[in-house]
Amino acid sequence: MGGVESDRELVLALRARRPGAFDRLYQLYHARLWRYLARLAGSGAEDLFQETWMAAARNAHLLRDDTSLLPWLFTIAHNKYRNGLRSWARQARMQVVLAGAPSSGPLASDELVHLQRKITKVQLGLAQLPDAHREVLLLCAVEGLEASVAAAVLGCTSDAVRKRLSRARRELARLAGLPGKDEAI
Amino acid sequence: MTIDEATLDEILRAVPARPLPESTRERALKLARAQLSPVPDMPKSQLSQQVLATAAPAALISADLVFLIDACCKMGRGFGG
Repeated sequence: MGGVESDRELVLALRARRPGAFDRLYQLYHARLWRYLARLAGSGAEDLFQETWMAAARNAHLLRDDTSLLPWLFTIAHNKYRNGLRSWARQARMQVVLAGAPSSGPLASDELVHLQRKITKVQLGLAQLPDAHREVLLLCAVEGLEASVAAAVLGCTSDAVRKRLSRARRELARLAGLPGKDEAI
Repeated sequence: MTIDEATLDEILRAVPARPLPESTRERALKLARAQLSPVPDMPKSQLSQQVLATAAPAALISADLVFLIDACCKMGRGFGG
């Protein structure tokens, strides 16, 4: 978290139920949580987003001093996704994956057109990945979480995260028609 | 065509996410606020002392006054005593 305010200060404020603390948490992290869920769950993201924040509010006073708040929110979202809404979200995902597709507005050059095509291919590939692969890619490659932090979110070891991430990248490249260097003939 | 991890990650980050609908953003915060656990109950004697210490005169002409009288009676004192 940037600025002078640390997660620790905010955790203490949340635990003390200080007025405004939860709003501050929301202000700081709602956009990143949404970005994660929108890519993870497609049109199921709205429900997951609300469920995640409601659970966060119910449990905010129980946080440990050393809790990192964004991974904590990702953990709640991950569990909600896994436990309740996953099947529904999966059905809906393919319907909306194109709704967020890159705009087809005017592009400056052939290079941009080419990049846009690659983005679209990766977007479609992402939607086809198994949940476990998509989650690890979104947490590590997109949100920049360290393997150890992602491991805590996903409930596995750091080593498992690294292996899963490697497999997920290979699978995504294959689905997107962009084979990795070690797969090239 | 071949691709390395860094390039793939870069493309992945460029994949657009749907914007958060304003209505969802507002509703989620509203619902979450309603879930916030309340401040634990204070003993009534402590609460009544706080009311005495902080209540402005205008605020006393309200439900606070009823509560205050009730709290003082339960403490075995008359109001103002």
